[in-house]
Amino acid sequence: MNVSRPDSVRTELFIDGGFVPALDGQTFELFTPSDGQHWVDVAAAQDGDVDLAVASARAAFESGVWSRKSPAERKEVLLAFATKIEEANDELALLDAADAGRPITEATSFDIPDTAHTIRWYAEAIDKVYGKISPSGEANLGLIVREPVGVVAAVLPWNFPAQVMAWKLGPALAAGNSVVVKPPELAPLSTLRIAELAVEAGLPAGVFNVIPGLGHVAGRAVGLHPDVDMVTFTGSTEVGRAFLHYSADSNLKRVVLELGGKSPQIVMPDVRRLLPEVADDLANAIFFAAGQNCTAGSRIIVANELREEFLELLADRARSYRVGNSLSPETTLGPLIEPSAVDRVAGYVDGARASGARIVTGGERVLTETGGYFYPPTVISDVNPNDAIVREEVFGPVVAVLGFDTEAEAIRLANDTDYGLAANVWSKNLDTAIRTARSVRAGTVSINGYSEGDITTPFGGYRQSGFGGRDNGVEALEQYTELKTIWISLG
Amino acid sequence: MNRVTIGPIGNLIGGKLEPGRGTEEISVLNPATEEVLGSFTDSNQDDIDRAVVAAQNAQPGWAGRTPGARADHIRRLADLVEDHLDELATLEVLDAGKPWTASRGEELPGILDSLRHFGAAARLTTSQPAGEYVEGNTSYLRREPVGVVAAITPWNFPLWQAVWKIGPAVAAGNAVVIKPAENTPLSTLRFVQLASEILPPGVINLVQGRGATAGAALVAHAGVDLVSFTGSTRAGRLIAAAAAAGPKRAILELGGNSPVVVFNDVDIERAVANLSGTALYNAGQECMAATRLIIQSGVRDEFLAALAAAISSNTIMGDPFAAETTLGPLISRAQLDRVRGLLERRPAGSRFVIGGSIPDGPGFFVPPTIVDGVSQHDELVQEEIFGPVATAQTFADEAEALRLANDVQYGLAGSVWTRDIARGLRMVNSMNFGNVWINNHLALGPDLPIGGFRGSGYGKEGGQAGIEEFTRIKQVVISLT
Repeated sequence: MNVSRPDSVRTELFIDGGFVPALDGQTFELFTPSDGQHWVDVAAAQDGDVDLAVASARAAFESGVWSRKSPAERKEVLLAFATKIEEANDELALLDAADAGRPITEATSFDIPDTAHTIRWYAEAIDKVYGKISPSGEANLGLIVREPVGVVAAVLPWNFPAQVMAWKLGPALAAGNSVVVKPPELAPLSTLRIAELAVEAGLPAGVFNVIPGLGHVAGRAVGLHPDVDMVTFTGSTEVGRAFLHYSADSNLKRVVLELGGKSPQIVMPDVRRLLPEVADDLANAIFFAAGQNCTAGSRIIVANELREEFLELLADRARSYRVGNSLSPETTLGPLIEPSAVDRVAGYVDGARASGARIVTGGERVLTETGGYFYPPTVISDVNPNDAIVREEVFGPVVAVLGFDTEAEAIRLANDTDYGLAANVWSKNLDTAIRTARSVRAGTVSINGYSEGDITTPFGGYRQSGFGGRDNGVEALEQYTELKTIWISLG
Repeated sequence: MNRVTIGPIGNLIGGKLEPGRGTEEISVLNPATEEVLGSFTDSNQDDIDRAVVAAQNAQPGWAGRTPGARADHIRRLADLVEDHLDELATLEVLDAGKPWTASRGEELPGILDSLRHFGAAARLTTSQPAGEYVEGNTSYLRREPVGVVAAITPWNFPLWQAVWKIGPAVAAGNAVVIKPAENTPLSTLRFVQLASEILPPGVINLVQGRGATAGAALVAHAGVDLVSFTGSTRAGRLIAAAAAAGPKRAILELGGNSPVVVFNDVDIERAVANLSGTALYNAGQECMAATRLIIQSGVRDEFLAALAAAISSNTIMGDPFAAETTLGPLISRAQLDRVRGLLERRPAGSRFVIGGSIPDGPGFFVPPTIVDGVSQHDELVQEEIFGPVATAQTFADEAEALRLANDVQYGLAGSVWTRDIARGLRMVNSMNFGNVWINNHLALGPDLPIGGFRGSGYGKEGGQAGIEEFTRIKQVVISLT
């Protein structure tokens, strides 16, 4: 029995504390990926709308109504904001389930609780993060203080709409910035509702603006805007590169990028008797969110002596997923985000098949009669390190499995990628586990269990998986600040 | 190499060498030969007063220099020390009985590195904030030197301990009065003489004498702001009580009795390569020595046999100046008698895996010894032996290993030997010791703070934490209205 789509949703731009249509009345169509049906039309911000949102953010920032409030006052507002999100948990979960295709059970129990938790964590951190006094001697006093950057634009992805927004919004607001969010055009609704909650919680008008729109219009406009001080972006490596160009071509705004990944999952030979547990973990690593997750464990590198036994267990797990409508509480693997995503994923799998790879399970479109964009959990073996399925980010429920004979070979395969977002190593051997974790070039390396860490640990990528900073942790809070040295002569 | 001139042994106050004015004449022995190397007069209250006053007079000017200027002085002192490494190592071998290869080859280079580290590290201390935490006010914290530091050092690592106290204390802007142990006065005196060529007079002062006289007077002195002590737990209690009367701050690095927990999945070759050295390091007169072997039953016989074989074939006891010597004498007849007593009173049913028989003199030598068949509440297990003596116990499971490891009054250091990552981390999480290693023992450096829990004292030495111990924090609030 599916839960129902909400009847009434916010679809306008949110600027200066209220909802407004786009200046020229333009909209774009929003579809629900579980059935391919048109749902609502959403206001599409153009250059003029972006100008208004940035001007509102700038005015709020300069007025000091938020930026110069004491940390303790900002904390109180953000704590109230977190509580508002908690109170709206089921409503917000439904929005992410309906437009982003997040399975309703996960959105309710994981995405939105984590969104509130992230805002609360940064709220509680604000008045406990200090500046410094430099050790400069008695003749001078050197104060090293942190100040908000100014107007921060956040350009966000559709895979975890509310949660990734909180990763940006939490530290940026806590630090005292004004924020302009461009939500994903494929899943903008939870962000619009959250902006309304923020104002209800006491966030001053103009501090948090939301401008739905198309990436190449609204996204590009914030990237090029001369009065935006910083852009934080999560999405594809290709679009990330564009933001660096926009910055260079405009005002050298700061750019922080969280990009794609092809995260290796290494299974060392010593875990033979734990293989069922390893298979559970690595199935979750790739099939969570239907593989539409930048840290998805899409490359398994398993000791050859374990490979066949492991493949059987993994295929078993893959077949146990319940693929279906994201609004059904039974669903454990929802749809992909759009029709072209299914075509892309199927293209990668067909390409692998054509070049001789073995499709251990999955590999054919399913539930086509529903009109939804479904693809089943798929395990592919007998691949070569240079195959597209091994090198490129598929962003779907598809995992490629490679074998190895020696630890050195496992590390070489793990590092043979343009990406470096995350990695996981399964080994109970202390030397092997730590040596491998130190040798793999990735921003987060988990040992004995796929993980992105938690809110206390910085998250981001090496190489083409990221640029300029990290989400999460005190490190993210600091990245939304500028450093100022105040040098006082005591002579 | 063992011929250096030993000059007059005395106090160094405000940069000037002078004899103590106490009542007792104290002889300094070479523990390898029992020959008298020299003697000095104990210090009295007047000596202590003048040393503290010299420190008090020098401290504000020293603290007024920038951290960069202080670091520069310490760097130049380190360069001067580097020119005197042979001389300092020789003095250390003569009165402390250390093997020359260990003193000149390992300790002195480590001391030099530590001195350079502490000098530069003081440039990096920062203190919190500038923030508007009270409406209409800004604020910051100011990190200041404490003032005058009394340093009381032991005889097992005389110069090492002196530098680990003087280095961070002086780098942070304090002045120091140091009292070395009465049986090892030589290397510290020479070091402070070298320092007097570089640092302003009075920044480092030295008084010689016994703990009960010079040490007690120094700790009790009203002009001392902080006491940094390394030595026995018994003396540490006295110092804590005397500091409490001030009150003044104290840093206590006291005794230890390190568990070495060896699981069945140990890499025996790797463990033995480390433990055959660290169980006996400095003739066991090392508060972190790897002396309390706690071995899982499945690997016990094989592990003990391998360790005993490695120690027997690697250890050469004898003249500390001989190039092949790896094991020197204990520090004194009193220490020798104490170790002999512990071995003679060993429980019925225990046995020597190796060693156990103490040769006739001259010199206070004890051969490497492993006692097997002891149980948890035997004095050999509970007491810090401070000789080249290890005990062996057996355990069945992780819970028992943890119980045996923690069930002593000390909490300084310990190690776990296993290939299982989860077990290794679980064990160190639950071990009540300030320094713990997995598949290592005695890996130390000036960047890594050391310091014990429980009966091993409190406070840290080394690392940024060790510098901060020698500072105090002042809160400054400025009204903006």
